[in-house]
Amino acid sequence: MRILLGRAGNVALLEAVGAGAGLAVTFTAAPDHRSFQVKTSHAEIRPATSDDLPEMDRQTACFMDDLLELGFPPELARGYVAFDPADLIAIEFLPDRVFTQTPGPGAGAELKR
Amino acid sequence: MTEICIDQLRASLEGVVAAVMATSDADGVPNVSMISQVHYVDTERVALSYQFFNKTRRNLLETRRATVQITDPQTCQHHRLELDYLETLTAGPLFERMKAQLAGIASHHGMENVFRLLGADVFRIVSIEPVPGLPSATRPAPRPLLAAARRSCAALDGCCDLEELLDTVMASLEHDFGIRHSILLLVEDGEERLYAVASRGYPTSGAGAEVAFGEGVIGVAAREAVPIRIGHMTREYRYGAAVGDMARRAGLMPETQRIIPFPGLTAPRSQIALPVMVSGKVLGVLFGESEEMMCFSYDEEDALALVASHLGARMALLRQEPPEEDATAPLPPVPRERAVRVRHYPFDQSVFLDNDYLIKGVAGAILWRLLCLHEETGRTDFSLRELRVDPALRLPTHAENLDARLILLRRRLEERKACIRLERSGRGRVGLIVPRGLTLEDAGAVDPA
Repeated sequence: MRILLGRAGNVALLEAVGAGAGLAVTFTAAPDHRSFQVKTSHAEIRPATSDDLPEMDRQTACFMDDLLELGFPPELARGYVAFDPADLIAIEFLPDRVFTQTPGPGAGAELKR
Repeated sequence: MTEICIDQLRASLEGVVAAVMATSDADGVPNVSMISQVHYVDTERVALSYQFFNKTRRNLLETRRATVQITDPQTCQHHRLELDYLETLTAGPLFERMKAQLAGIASHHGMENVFRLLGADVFRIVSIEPVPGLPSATRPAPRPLLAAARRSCAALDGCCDLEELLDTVMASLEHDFGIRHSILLLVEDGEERLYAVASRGYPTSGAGAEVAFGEGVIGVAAREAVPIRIGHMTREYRYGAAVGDMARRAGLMPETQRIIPFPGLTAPRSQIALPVMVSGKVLGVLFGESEEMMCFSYDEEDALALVASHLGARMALLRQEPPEEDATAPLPPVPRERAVRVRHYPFDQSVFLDNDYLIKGVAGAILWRLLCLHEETGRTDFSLRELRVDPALRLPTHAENLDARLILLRRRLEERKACIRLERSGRGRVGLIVPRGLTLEDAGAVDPA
């Protein structure tokens, strides 16, 4: 998995990962709260490249559509997905474990390979 | 204390944008999840909604530490709160405030049967850190709420009697706060029930409509003595069901249902209920609602709580026995061609005009007593003092709401276009206007059970 995030807002997280800490990442679909969480004991920090931008643009556009459909005002939806390309950095890892996290019964159950 | 104060970040605690919560277990394995609610408690504490027993919960009990990221829905500014777990509350005012808000959030997200508040996890705020990010929209200038509260309080100061006070507070809610639909309810003496005495912005006044303690935001605000507000409406906090049940339990027949419908909006999206207190006792509830979502913020709640508090103090002042004026000349009877029968049922003090339900309870008892006194003596003018001590009425020793009953009764009579009318005939006095040919019929002490 390759996660892109802003450097300035995640200094402590990047330091911890750089020092070998484990990592948990949760993904949530805005419209219906379907969620899952991945965990890893080890991750690598890599520079973001211009090759990342088309996929960033595609995913943020989809996310923004979801937010607008939920009734978020356009300026809030835009602000929520905004990012500074110069600030981006990447974290790469292989997930050790995956858990469902959709609210309700069964949340937290581990997905077996 | 940290440099940034949570008081400045309350817009981020309205549940518009879900918060993110990170915990870790004792071995340092992290866990991250979305959380529906981070609730403002005071300048040093927040409470998170505990809805499911999951990994987050286990970590919390193990390490008692969490980090939460909140987002301002207008500027998109994120803040991270470092938190120390203190305790979990499963009842009481804070729990009920969060429960009501969560029900609204759940309904808004189509998660009514999934999101349920099991507890309010209270945390001490260790630090608050702004998350650097892109500058986003600036916040629009807020409504000057302190000025609005001050204007409303000043308007209440100018009122000379309870009726004027009630009408003025609702007019102020509209003019100063833009709240076009409002209701004022008072607590029935010694009972866990409120009745509407004044309203504004509805097709019918609903005077006399009842709300049970615990029912809707109004009933919860009264029971817990705490403001309750909802930004997205939910079925859980609708009105009508509980009072209907009470009527059914009382064994009332549908055709003689003694119920005055609640006047509220059919599709409200935001509601706020503020307890009106005097000396720590809930006197009534000031209620406002709107068809728009997220109408009432923490700041609006603070400002309206000031107005409600001032209203309580003014009500207490006005309750002190007003100097009585002299009796006025008897009021002329209302000419009427057809005879009207007034029937009284002592078991619930209900009064019917011909076959139409008019009123019950203390207000019903007062009306019946006035009509009986009129029939016996021909009097049309009565002092509040004599009603207060009338052994036939047996009002509670401190019948604090006598004034309110008379307002409610007068409005109900007007709304039903009844042939009987009540008028203020002077300070501390009430005038009765009745048609000729009224027959009184006491249905006797029949117990329906």
